[in-house]
Amino acid sequence: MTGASIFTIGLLATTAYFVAAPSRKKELLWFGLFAGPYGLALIVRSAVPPIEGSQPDTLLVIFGKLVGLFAAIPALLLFQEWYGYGWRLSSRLLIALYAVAVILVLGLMAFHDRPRSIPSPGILLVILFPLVLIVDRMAGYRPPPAPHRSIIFGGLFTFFASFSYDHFAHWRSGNEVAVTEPVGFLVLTMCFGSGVARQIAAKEAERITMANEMAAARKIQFRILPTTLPSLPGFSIAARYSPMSAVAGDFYALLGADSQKFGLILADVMGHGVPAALVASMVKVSVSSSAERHSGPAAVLEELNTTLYKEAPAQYATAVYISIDHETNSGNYSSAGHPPPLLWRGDARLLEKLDGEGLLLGVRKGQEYVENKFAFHRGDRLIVYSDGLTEAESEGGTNFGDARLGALIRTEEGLSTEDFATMLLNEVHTWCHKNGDPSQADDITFVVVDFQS
Amino acid sequence: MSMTVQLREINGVTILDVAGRITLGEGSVILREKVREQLNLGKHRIIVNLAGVSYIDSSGLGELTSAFTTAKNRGVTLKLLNLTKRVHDLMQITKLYTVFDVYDDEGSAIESFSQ
Repeated sequence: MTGASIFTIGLLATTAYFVAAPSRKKELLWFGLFAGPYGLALIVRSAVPPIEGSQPDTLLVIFGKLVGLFAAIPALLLFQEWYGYGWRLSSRLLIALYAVAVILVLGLMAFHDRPRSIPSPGILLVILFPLVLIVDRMAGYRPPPAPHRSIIFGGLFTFFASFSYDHFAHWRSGNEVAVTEPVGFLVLTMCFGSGVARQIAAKEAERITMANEMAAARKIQFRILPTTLPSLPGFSIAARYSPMSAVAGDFYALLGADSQKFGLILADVMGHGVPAALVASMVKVSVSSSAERHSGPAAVLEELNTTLYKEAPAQYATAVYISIDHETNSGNYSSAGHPPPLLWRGDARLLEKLDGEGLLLGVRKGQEYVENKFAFHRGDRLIVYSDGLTEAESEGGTNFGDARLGALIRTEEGLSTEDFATMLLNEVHTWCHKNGDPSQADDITFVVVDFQS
Repeated sequence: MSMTVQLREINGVTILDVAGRITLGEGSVILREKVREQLNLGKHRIIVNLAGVSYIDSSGLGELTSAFTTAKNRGVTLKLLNLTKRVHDLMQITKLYTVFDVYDDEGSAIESFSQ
């Protein structure tokens, strides 16, 4: 019975090792490889009454012995995981010596007419193991600090004591009944399990902290984005923001809205996740402060470029800033490596690109940006977007693309601003479904502005 | 397909033949490591050959830019060779072609170092 349960534990541990691929620990493998064969050897030993001379060893007995002998090797490797290699690799040497002894004993057994009279190589361990520990200690070797080491070592020593006791008993009585060893093993399993469980609990606590921090970061991130867009007479504005992970590098804002002018910025920090989100926060602060001083689009981007270049080396961003004047029905814009905003001309039913000539932000110190002008009329629609929109990939690896976006703007021109934004986000999300699941490779952000007067 | 980088050296110029996808994560990390390795080895003439690059995303482009600026800060010139249409388009949108030295054939790229 004991053998069967130990065997099962070993099987479970080995399986667990191979299933827990990324975070797997060697300890689990060694434990599994030790417990499995060891349990098997116990089963065989209890199935065949080991009385010297009563019958010749059957194949089963030899098999059991073989497996049992080799099981000690992973047990030693398990010990080494915690203990380290010892003084002058002494624990390594011990394992090598034992392996040689096993092979030697097996060789002798094959040719000996009374194989049971050959001492078990386990005796070697019983003698050498404490010796190695004592020599290491005297030579000043200290095992590396590890969590829950005392529990694990306690288990290992209990097992070793029971193992030694049984080996001495076998040696004296000549039989091979396992007396205290299975009990020792049980203690080891419990200690090992408790050690692993505590480690898992600690990892889980760490993971929960991380998850909480990410949730907090996500909240902050959403706070830097406008929750409601200001309603401006003569304009209807809708925005959509769909981050790829908990936090994102895309950022948009409406700034300095007064009776005559407002500014619209959309920025995309290269990369994703926490680093990009941190830079996005930096972008927000820089842009808000320059917009407060009523700087023009080029000045805003130049300041942003300086901030990124100085404060966030090797972090780059694309951005477009559009300043819209509703007294003169005209806009000024500057682009820094950003996909050109699209302007749908309602009366002519034509799509124009607001091309800019600006370099990616954060690359070159003191980079200057040019400003371009455009006029708008009632019925025009402006779409400002991040490249996550047009580069959304389908299952077959095709990009959503400029052409598809253009076609939607044309065919769906009758939709209200909000409905158009909802439709567009749905289309992109459907486009990048893979195996029936949404699969987004980049943050998707866009702002739609309808000119109504 | 993941990304691979092969190294060659011609007339004292180190050429990194990049193939596959340079995207967020593995691809861009490999590129960064390889360029850094060459810089640490004291190589000061580096060409990144992008002929085999099927796809690059903005993170990949950021990585390329960062490699360029790191090299420049150490007084090393990093030039680009054989942009595929995709890389070329991205260079156009981001105007990075004004930053990088870009070549269409290997001979003139190598020669450009001796001028």
